[in-house]
Order: sequence, then C-alpha cells, then structure tokens
Amino acid sequence: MNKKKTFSPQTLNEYHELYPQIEGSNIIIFAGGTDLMVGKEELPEDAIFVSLSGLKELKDIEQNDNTIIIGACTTLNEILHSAIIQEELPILIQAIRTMASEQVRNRATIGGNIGNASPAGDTITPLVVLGASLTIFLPGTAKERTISLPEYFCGPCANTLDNGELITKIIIPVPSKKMKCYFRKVGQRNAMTITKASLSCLAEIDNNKVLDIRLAAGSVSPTVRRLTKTEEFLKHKAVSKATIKEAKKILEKEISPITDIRSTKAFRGLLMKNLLEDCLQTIDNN
Amino acid sequence: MNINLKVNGKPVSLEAEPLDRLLDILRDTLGLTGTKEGCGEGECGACTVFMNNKLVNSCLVPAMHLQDAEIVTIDGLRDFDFFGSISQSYEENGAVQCGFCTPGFIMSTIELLRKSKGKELTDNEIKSAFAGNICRCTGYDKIMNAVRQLLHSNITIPERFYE
Repeated sequence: MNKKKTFSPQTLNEYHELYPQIEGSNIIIFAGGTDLMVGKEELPEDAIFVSLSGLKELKDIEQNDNTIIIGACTTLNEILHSAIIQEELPILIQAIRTMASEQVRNRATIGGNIGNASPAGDTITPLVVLGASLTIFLPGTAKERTISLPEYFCGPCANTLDNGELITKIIIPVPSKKMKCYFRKVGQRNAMTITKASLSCLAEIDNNKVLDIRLAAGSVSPTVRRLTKTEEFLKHKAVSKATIKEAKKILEKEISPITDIRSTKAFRGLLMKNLLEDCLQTIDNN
Repeated sequence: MNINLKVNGKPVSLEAEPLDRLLDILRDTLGLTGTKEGCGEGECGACTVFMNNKLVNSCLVPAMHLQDAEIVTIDGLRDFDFFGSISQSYEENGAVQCGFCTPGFIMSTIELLRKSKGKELTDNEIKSAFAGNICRCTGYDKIMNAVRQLLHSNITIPERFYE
C-alpha cells in the first residue's frame, strides 16, 4: 500500500506539466496528511497522490485592502499565530484554537480542512459566515476559477471539484469592526475532539437590537451553509426571551441533524438551539 | 525513494516508500525505539517528535515529506543539559508510571517551556499544551505538577536544538 504512486510538484506550473501523465487516474490531493495518513489503508488501490508540501506559493497570508488571502497550504498553527488574522478575523482564531492539538495543527492545513468537506470541519462555519470564496487551480489548463465556499460542498465529505483540481487560496472579505463574533463547538471532551454541533456567528447588535446577523451551523446538515431563515427572522428584532424562543423554532426547521457515532439527532437539535441562545446573549452582553 | 534528513543532529540517508510513516522509519529503520506508537491516529501523542523545530505526530508524517527535514526524538535528548532537569522533575513528582506516554509528554513539555519562558500560565493554558498527549496512568495531576515545577525553575531550552 505504501508503494502508491506519488508526485510532489514544487510549483503549480510543474503540476500542470505533469498532469497529462495522470489525467484520468484517481487523483488524491495530499496536503498535511493528518486525515489521509490515518485512513491510508482504506484508500482506493489505484489512487495517485499529489503532495502539495513543496508548493511554497500556497503558504502565504496576505492582506489587500479589505480582503485577506490565505494560501491553502497554510497550517492551522500558522493561521493561529498570524498577527493579521488575530487582528482582522478573530472568529477564525477562536475556531482553530478548539481544533486538534499542537502536533496536528503544525501539519494540518486550512485547505485540507475545507478539501475534506466534512460538515464537522471547524474552519468551515467561520469561513461561511465571513463569506469566503475559494480559488481553484485547474491542472489541465493551468487556469484558475473562483467559487463561493458553499458552492464547493455538495454533501458530507463530497465536493464539486473535478478530478485533479485543487484549492489554492481562501479569499476572505474583512468584516466591519462593528460585527461581533461568536464561535462555539460542543464535542465529547474539551480538547482533541470532533464537533457534535457548532455555531459561528457574526452580528451587529446595538442597544439590544439586531442590526445585522450571519449564522452557520456545523455538524447538523449535510453541508455547512448560512441559516438564512433564522437570520431573516432575527434582523431588526430586539434580543429578548420571546425572540430567542421563536428563533429557536425557526432554527430547528432549518437544520437536519442525524444520529451517528458522535451524537444523536435529538441531542444535536437541542445543542443547536442552546448554542443560538448562548450566542445571542453573549453578543448582546458584549 | 531515497531520502536525506537529519535525525538527532546526524545526517541520515535511507530508502523508503512515499507513504511510510516517520514513526516506522525511526523505530524500524533507524532503531530509535524511544518514540512509541500508541493509537497510530494522531490522537494520543506517544509518537510526538520535533520536525523542523515543530511538534508533530510521527505516525502522521509520510516519508515523502521528510526530504531535508530535521527530526529530534526522545533518543537524542541526552545531548542536552535541560533534559536532566526535565527527567528529574518527572521523577520527583511521580509523573512516570508505565512510561509509555512519557516520551511524547517530554516533547510537549519542551515546547511549552520554550514558548512560555518567564510567562505566568493558567492551569488551562498548561493543559492546552498537552491537548495532544494522553496518559492512562497518572491522571495527569502528577505530570502537571512536574511541568509547573519546571515552569518555575530557571531551565533554558535553546531556540534550536542543533546549529
């Protein structure tokens, strides 16, 4: 199994040049490998690995005006320690702080967390509320295209990319400083845990009134997307017990949790409602 | 594939398959059995080593990422004076019982000491540094005591292990 064919291009252009040799094969993009190394025995026999570890061009964090661009191969710890991200995108810091361990965060990449497309991926809900988009590299033509993050996902651990395509950049519009952020996840234990349910929120609440709000929930639907109905309901309302009660009812209809090895449908539903309440109260009191 | 790397300060050249685990290369190819395999899934931290001066789970690092890498394992730590202080603190506090997790805990201890020199840490901050290490014997209290004692000592960890 370890004899699998692997390629380690040093530039995107090198990947484009070697691509005709492997076009049509089952290509697996290998970034930090913290998921793939665990499951490597179960991967298809004919898989060909393209390792991104040599692609230095995908390891940057830069800020242009009101946009932050994170290279897909930036590790979670590099993001956690980035002054730009700490200043401009605290919600991403809050989320990454809850992820895995020092050892894993030194290897795991943000592109890998998105690429894996798990509904429990903890960078995904913050990126969805931030309105992030992805730059995709097409190895056949060496061209790039950009898609919004929700467009990338098409089911649990399934994405809309064609064989061999890879995520090169995550493009994030910097939110207004008036937007307060909230991220909370619930797992089996505090550290090194996979999410049973999580909530990301950016909201502007002034004088108890919700002026703007963006919500995304993790692990309670096949793909992560905005909770638009709950958002619409909450906009221009005062945060009160009655509002929260009504919002929970709408939220419940907007999610579709399942029972699996990590939790049950009923518990996930309850968690999400309680997370929404905690979120609104936390931001309101902030 | 042929790989050239440095392990515990010494240049090493070896043959490996691209997806061979660093853990197996250390233990089976190089005979450095101080690094342990617990879960093999990156959860337990028994296989923790330094790679290019950063903590990693050696069970999750494929050979194809090792070209020119600098690896430091528990087996190399006797080269350094600070290791004596760490092992003494672990001994005095009873932080080693079966000892299987210890090589990994020592690595995370080194990283914490290096990052936190002169800082006053909360218990939660200390615990977070060990999120990736599991111990089934001590109940963690004894390890935390050993680490707290080290944080209050004047131990110095060099920025890099080897020049």
